[in-house]
Amino acid sequence: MAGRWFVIFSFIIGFIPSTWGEEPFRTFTASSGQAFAGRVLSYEGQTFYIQGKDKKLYPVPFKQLSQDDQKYLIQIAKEGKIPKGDPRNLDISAKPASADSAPSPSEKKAEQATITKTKSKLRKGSFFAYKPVNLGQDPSLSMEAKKVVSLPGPDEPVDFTNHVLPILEEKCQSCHNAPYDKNGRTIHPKAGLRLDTYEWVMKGNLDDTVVEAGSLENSYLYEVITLDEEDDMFMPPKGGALSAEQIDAIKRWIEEGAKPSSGASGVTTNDMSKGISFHDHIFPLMEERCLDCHGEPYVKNGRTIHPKAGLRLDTYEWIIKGNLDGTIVEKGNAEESTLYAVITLDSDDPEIMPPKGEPLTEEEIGMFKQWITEGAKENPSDMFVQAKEDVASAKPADHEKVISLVDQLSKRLKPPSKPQMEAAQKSGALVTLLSTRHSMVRAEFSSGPNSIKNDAIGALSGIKNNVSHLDLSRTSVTDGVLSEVKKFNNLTWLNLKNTSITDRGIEKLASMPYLTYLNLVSSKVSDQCIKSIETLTKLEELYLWNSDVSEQGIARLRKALPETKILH
Amino acid sequence: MNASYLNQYDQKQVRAYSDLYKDAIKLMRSEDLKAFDITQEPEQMHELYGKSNFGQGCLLARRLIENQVRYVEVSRGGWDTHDNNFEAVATNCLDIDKALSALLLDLEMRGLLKETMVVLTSEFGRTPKINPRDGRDHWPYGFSTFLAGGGIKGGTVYGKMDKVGRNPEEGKFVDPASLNATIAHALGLPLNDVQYSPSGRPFTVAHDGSPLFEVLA
Repeated sequence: MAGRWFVIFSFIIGFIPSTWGEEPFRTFTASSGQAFAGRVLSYEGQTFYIQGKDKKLYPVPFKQLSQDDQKYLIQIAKEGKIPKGDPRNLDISAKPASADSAPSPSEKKAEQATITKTKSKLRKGSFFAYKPVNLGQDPSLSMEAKKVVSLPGPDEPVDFTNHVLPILEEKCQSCHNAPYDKNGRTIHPKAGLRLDTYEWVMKGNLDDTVVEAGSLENSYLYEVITLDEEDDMFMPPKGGALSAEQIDAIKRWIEEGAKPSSGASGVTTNDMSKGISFHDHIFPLMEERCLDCHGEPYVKNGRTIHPKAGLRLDTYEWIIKGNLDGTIVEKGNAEESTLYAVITLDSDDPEIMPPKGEPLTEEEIGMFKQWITEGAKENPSDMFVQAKEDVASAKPADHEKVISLVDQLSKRLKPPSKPQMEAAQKSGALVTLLSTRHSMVRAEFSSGPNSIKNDAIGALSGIKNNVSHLDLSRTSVTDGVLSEVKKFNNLTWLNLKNTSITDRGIEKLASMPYLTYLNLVSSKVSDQCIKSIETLTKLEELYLWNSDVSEQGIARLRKALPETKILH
Repeated sequence: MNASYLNQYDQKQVRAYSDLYKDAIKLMRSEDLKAFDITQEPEQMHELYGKSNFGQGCLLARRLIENQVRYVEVSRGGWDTHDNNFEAVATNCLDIDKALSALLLDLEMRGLLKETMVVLTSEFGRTPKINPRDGRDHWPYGFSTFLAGGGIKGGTVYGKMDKVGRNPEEGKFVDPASLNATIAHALGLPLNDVQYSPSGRPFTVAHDGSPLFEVLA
């Protein structure tokens, strides 16, 4: 057998000259042990195109091959001996190899078992050539030929539409796409996450955003594609990992600020920077999207059809006037304007306007927002002066709002990243953000508190500035733990109920700047702790029931902290 | 045996099964189950709450809240007073009053009331008209709900009923959705987020209700 291979080798090497220096035939072994003969023509990502002796082309996933083969392929790819891309597109037609090298029947079987055959090209107009069309999408659009997919060059900035979207299309959108109809049931995207447009990618899902511009660490999208393949959260779960080039493209896109495609938004931003004109920007949009329902009353079959909700949007005066419920445009304040509110609702909210068709795009919504913020004027003269005045007059009102202490603290900090949260959970604590998009967290030992000792708190030190609420009640901690707790600078709420904490522990808490709640119910503290508690000037609530603090002690505390609610 | 099997077939599915068994055993042996043991409470506590089912239920509820259970429901029947309304309501109220005041006091002493919302409600009220058997029948157009604790502005009356208990005065109707929205708002739940049931039906926590900010602190 070996002798015969040798003959074929030498024969081919001498026979075929080519621009790419065609690779010789060799025996490839699959990791399952089966072998076949072929030569490499080109590669694309993780797939190598190997021509068999039967002159057919086999795309073979890199990972299916044995280690020796992998080494060989890496080497020739590095040396640039084989081109990138699908050989059928590259047009280096696989030249016929020697005719006498037909593989034996047993080899043929092996090939069929290990290698997926390329699909034969579908006849034009064939039923199977149609792609499924998503709900609410124009079928003619989805039938359009796909744009040529290219990976960004090393110095080229990554463009969302040209570089990132095709990767998402290939690898993610079979699960993370717009809801579509299957056998009468709507199939929603997995994990409620859509990756089919820029807006959706940036929006993320109910849990959180998946991309944070400029931060790989906070971008969950990047995290899941770079996990270990064995990991449960590894994406994509089927169909193999993204190639290194694809991962690199996504990485660079996020690092460059996760911008939308420059081609799409460039024009409108320039346009908008001159200011929004009612007649040029707003009214044409209204005409297209709103006037079907909110137009002039008209007569149909002898009946007068009035605009819906008694609201007309067909002239500037009517838009400003609103309907019986009130005005819909609050000049200078988009957030307070009903018009702006209804177009920015979630796309599945029953109240969203327009109720039919696609929601307004981000740019269109941006136009409305800017128009209202600039004073919702019919003619855009002096609008910048006006806008500035509005902003100036709006500011003091904002400051009058009472913002709670934790919210103030939250504004100074970044929310903890996912890995930081996971590390903190190692303490055995349940660690949760106070609310979505809040920076402060609450840590509580809700399960099996008996087994929690002083050392558990060490795992929380990675996010010590973010912990505002700490519940150590019912745990087995002792006084020592409070010297660690002292380092949680922004702690506002501390529960030490049913612990063996004594006065010596409370001493360590003296002068904590933001502590507003302290629960010492059923702990071992006595009158000795009073002088430490007196230093907690921000304290609003103090619970001392079932502790050893005496009546006199309470009286002294009430004198020192007259504003504090003290229960005993 | 499990371990040796796992050695031989170290697969995700096999690991998942052993994890399931381990979790079940962990739950059965958990220290946390002591939260359910109300015999650990002193005798005065039992008396404070009242030794009725509802009273003891409230005592258990407090123990669970102390152990950081997120949601506890205590129910009390006996309100379908088609007959003999006045005697039945008097007995019921005695029971409820004792247990509820004990619960509020106990939660407050332990520093828990500010972050626990206590809701006492029913699915409908009773007719303003007394029927021939001295009873009152079903009346969904107006009835009382009691909210206390975390997030609630104490002492507020919203949507007071007219003299006969027929309809709310001043037109301040509150529908169940608004009550749910009020509770959800105080709990910090997102009102606008759409969740999907396993069959794909969309719903939000409080349907189309909006919170009654008049009763929220």
